[in-house]
Amino acid sequence: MAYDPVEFLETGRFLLAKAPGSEATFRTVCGRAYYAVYGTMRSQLCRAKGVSPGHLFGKAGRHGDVINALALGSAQLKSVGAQYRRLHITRVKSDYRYSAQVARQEAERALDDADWVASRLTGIPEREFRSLPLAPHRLR
Amino acid sequence: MTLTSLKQPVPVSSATHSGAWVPILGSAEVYSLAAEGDAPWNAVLHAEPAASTENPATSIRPAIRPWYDQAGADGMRAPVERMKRLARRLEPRALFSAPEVVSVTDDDGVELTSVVVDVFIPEEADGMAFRDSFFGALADALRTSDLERLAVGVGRLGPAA
Repeated sequence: MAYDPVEFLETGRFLLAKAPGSEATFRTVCGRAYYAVYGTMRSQLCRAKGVSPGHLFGKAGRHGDVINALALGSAQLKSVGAQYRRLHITRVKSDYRYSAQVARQEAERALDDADWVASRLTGIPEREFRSLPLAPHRLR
Repeated sequence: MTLTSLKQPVPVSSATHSGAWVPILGSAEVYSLAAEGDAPWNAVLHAEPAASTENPATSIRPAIRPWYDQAGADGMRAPVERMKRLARRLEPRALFSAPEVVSVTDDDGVELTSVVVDVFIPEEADGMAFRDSFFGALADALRTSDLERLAVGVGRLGPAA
């Protein structure tokens, strides 16, 4: 059975409970929270469009294209866009911006935001993902 | 370019606010540009600079532009205020972080510039229900071109001091 990326959220909560004062944990949790959502979005898109992840996403993540496409989708897809975008920014900060502190509260917020986005994405009908303007990936 | 993190006790709403400083869990940090550069992580102070006691003839103060004058944030002031009003309508105790303009480049080289604002709701509020109502209303209220540049997190308010 395929792995469900939403399980990253449980891992994030486990890590926060085990190492409640570690900034490395906070950064890791922010990353897992984003990838729970990204993985869910990727699965939904590929299922709706009937293509493999490699066909639609190529080797890189195609994060920006997906985020921008959400604002052009149905009302339901638009409604998750602002949280999705926030999670992406938090993930980039957590993974690459070491001069900026990442606090526990930021990790908790990311988990809560991701929980909501992932649960809403799974409830959106396939036809709404199908209409998103995402062409097959072309390697640049 | 390096970023200096400026600790603030609270995110301050530019919407109506009682003036009381309330400590907030997850308070967004505010960054100031410490030097010029081309790093993709740009953030600016939203607050007006405090009155200086320095001698202006001898001190060098960096020019701080308000967030809505930053590249990529043009026309976003009204949508952000509208977003705050929507949140307050649903949760009158909501507070907001100071908006930041942030640019990031993804693995494919696509650059995204967003206005980042976090909404803080009371600890006892139902976060999922708030998000359902708030983000649904936001998608209806804002134009696509505004939604494309808005990044919103939902955090929790700490106990009042």
